[in-house]
Amino acid sequence: MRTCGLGRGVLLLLTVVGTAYGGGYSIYEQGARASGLAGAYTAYGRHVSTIFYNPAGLALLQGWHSYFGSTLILPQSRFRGPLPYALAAYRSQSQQFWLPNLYASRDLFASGFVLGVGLYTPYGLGLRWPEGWPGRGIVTEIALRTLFLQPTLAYRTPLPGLSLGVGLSYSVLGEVVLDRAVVDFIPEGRIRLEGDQEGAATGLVWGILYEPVPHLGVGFTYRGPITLRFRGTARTENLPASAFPPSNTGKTELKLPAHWALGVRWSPNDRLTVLADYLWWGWSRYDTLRLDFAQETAVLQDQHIPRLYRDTYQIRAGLEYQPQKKLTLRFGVAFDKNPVPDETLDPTLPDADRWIFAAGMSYAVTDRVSLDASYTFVRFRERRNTSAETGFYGIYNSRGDLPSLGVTIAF
Amino acid sequence: MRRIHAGFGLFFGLWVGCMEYNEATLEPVPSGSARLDKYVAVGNSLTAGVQNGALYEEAQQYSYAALLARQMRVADFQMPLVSSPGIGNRIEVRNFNPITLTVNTAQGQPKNAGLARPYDNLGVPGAVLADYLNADNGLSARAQQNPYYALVLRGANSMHQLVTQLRPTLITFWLGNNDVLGYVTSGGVRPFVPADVFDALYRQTAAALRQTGASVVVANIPSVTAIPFVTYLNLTLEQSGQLVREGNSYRLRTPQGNLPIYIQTAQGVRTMTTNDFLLLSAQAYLASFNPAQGDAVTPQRPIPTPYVLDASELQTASALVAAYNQTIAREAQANGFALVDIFSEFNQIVLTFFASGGKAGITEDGVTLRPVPGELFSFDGVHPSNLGHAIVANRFIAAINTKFGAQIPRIHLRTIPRGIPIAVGAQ
Repeated sequence: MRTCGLGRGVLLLLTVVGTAYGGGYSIYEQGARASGLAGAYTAYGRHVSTIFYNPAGLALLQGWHSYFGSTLILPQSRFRGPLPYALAAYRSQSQQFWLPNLYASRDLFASGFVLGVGLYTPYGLGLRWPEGWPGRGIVTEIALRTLFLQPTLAYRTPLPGLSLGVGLSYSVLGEVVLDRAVVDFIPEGRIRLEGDQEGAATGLVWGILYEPVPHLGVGFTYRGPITLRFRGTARTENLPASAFPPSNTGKTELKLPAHWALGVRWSPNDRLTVLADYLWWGWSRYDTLRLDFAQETAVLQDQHIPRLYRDTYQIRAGLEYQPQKKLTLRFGVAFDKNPVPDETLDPTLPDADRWIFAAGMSYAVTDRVSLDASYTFVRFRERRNTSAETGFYGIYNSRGDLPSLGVTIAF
Repeated sequence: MRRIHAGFGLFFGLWVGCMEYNEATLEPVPSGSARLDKYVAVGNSLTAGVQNGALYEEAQQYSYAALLARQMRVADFQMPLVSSPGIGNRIEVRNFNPITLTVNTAQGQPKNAGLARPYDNLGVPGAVLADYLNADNGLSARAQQNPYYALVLRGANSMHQLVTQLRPTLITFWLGNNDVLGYVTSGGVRPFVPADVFDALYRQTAAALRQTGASVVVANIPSVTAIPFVTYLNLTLEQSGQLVREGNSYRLRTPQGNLPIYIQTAQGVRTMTTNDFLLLSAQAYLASFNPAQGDAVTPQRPIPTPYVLDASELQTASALVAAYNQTIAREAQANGFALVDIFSEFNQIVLTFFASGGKAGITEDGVTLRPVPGELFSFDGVHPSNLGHAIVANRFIAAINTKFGAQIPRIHLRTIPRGIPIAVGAQ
């Protein structure tokens, strides 16, 4: 037996390599009607799912309104590399995520006020790479799940066509998972971080809808920033306890961006509506990811990982067409600029600029009940990365398929 | 060629030509005036990829030679792989708090012994310059009946015979370290190859290498004081306060005060100066010694010579390395070989390290490595770690790119795992 003075911090970088919960992990598909229009919905109003998109739109609804729906997300990513010496392909394993889209509202005795509540998942992420893949030291599995409840109050002002709305976005539950191999040891080990949301987190949402004449509308929505705090455990496999304490706990926080949306609606006739939105996202808030461990060792230490996300924008356009009284068809297209710079891009979230194509329909079963469906296809631009700070270079291709179903009931 | 993704129904039919992904191919590495397709590595344990005192596949895959082959995208670079824990006695980590090492005496098995052609990595742990042409000078791996010799050469007459058989277009050649290293690690007990013998042999060897027609890259011999086997113990004992500097002498801190330390040298017993180095092999001896009984602190019980590289031995070794390197530089120049100046590279790292009091190292790609076991070096204190090998490989790449106008991409250090062997049942 010999003793060697391996200094503190020697293995500091052991777990630093690219941890992240990802970045462009916002989900804007929160109802089949909006999704059918590729999210060009800020000036739409008139449906209870506007609670998410523009609380002011709720003021246009009288009586009881509810929407019960769900969106299925089928993400898929492919990595080819590692460059510069290999171009082997690795595909993420197929996964399914069911997101709830639930909304209800009621007007308050024709006072101009409407009260509503929504339950939705505005942020989420899930990706599982094959066992033993070359990026296993960065990530083998990552997941982020959130659920938000939003009580909302809308008011139709005395000024003709002007409505206001305000809501409180309250995080009901949140969960993060990060699983990766520890490749610095022979034999390799594994560490899995699992955290649950700790403490309450709320954000403000407010919106304006102005319709000076029936066939024109302008909407604006602002959603404030939220910081989610997580606390959890670090479970290890095949790792010495002196390096990775087996019952270690840790905490982290996730800074969710603020965003605003400006949308316009034009209805040239009774059957046709055209919508267009511009959105700004304050992703630059997500500058650093911090991981704090309760027990630090020479190998495992607190980490401050630069993320350096950039503020971004989205452009969304939709078209709604009603060929007959009971049937409404929707089409949409959107461009989503990604916030992740090349330096911090890694396989935890292989983001890229996205093109979004959507189609949807509603069928009015009765005067009170209608069925809503949509299909969204997200195409990520191919992203060839040869400048990430992790040195893990390759070509990423991703896509997402998001079918959505729901039923709208009004009475 | 592009794959068409179809079948998204009516609307998505409009999105024809939407690609699942673009075909991509690896472009060949621009090789300049050299040809990189058939690469053979000649050398000793550094080339073979010995780490932590053993030869095992997880380390062989990260030898600078294997990394270089990967960066050049050489197809089918074959090595005499050995299963973990390898041949030799591997030093493994048993605990990280504090770092505690243990020696694993279990032996691995050759995994690639059935290969019907010579290996492309002809690194033989323990080989000296004489082994290349099998010009036996008593220090050669064959003369020493070194087990690695049989593992790599499999009955061939010499390394050169195998090189000729392989018809390489690129040869990296890094021998000569062991011609002086045995002298250093034995505290001056074992012999070295005199400079004039080395010179004549290197001249012959260079001529033989040139005759192969391949592009040749040679590396020179790093300074013996660059290895932690020589430098590390003094440093740590000084940092822990057990060794105290007084003028130009080292003294031992004891409850009875700071006492002179006696060492045995070829010139007799004398007190230890700051120019004498306790070797890493002295650890077990130091752990058992007892100053109260006079160990090391009386002229009658000096630290035995195999555990100390004294100032004059250090000078001898340094002068030898300088002479060897002069020969290597001259022959490289005369024969049109690319030269990797490992001596200067490591010397710079070591100077920076000592100037900073043992804090600074070399920083590349955000990774800082000091010349100590567990960072730039593996735990045996002689052989580089995976990351050390990556740095060496990057120097080879730079030399090839400069000499031949090639464009081999450098290795990003953060993609290299540290390769720390963990003992079974480690805490």
